[in-house]
Amino acid sequence: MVHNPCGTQNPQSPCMDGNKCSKSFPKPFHDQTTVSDDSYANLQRQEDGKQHVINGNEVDNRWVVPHSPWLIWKYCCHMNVECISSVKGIKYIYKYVYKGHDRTTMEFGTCQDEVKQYLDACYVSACEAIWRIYHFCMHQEHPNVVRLQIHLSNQQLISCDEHVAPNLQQVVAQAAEKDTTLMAYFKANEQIPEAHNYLYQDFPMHFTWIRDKKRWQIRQQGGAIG
Amino acid sequence: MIQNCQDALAINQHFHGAELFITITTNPNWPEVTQEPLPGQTPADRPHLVVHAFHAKVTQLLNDLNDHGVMGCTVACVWTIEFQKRGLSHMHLIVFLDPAHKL
Repeated sequence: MVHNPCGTQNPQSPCMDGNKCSKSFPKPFHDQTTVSDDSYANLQRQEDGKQHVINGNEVDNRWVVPHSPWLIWKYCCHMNVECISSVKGIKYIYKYVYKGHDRTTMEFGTCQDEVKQYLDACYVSACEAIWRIYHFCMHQEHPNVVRLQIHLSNQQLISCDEHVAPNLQQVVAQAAEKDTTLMAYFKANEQIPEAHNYLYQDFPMHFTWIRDKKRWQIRQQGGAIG
Repeated sequence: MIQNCQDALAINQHFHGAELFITITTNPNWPEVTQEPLPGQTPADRPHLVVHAFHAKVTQLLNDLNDHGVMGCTVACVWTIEFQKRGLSHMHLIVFLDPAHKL
């Protein structure tokens, strides 16, 4: 895969930012792959004198975009594979992946005198609408992660529904019947001898949380992280 | 979204760091997408074709990575789909490899 010619050959290229290519092509030759101080990799680009003509432009190793030939051959589309090498980059990548939808600010009304109304709206394209109509997944985390509550005795967080339990006594009575993951963990330790072997945070790996019955059960298959 | 991010970071902590960060974008020139529309139609007129083609490719990619191990034995993966402004779907995928296959 080769970067489209830009710079002096093609000043109208979309990658041009002023007089420079925003992707900094053509890249300099390097005899060996090195990692720079800001943890970007300078890939090996040998100066072997070979030149090829693509779409009327001569290109050499400086113009090659790093790519995975097998993936591009199989899936026939833009695919980029990066190796995560430093710890610093990881949080950035997670934030980037989970930054959420593109948002747009729309303005209503044409009359100058009216107070302008702004709306922080979510932009949904036709493709996204179809994706959601077919109920395809928007994201997936594998393996599963179970959230474990931590609280002091009788100080667990409870939620109440005004229609189900209209007064505080009923809320308290209902909450007393429901165990949190921590309370159920202690009960499981009383009842199941096997549970003694595992710490609370390792518990979801060996037990499953039954949400309706509010109790832990020995895991039959799979695994989860606490 | 924040909970998902925290879940992903919990997975990251459990497996001591991720290895691969893969992005995949819809190609509007896929034969599946360009051949099927009726004469005069463009792929943009048939978004369900684009979506189905992308979904099939994503499913196949996850299958290749998780079951066939084309990049090494995978222990966990985390991905999200997003839609670019022009409407092309785009996937971010973080792959965690088995310690024996770490780079």
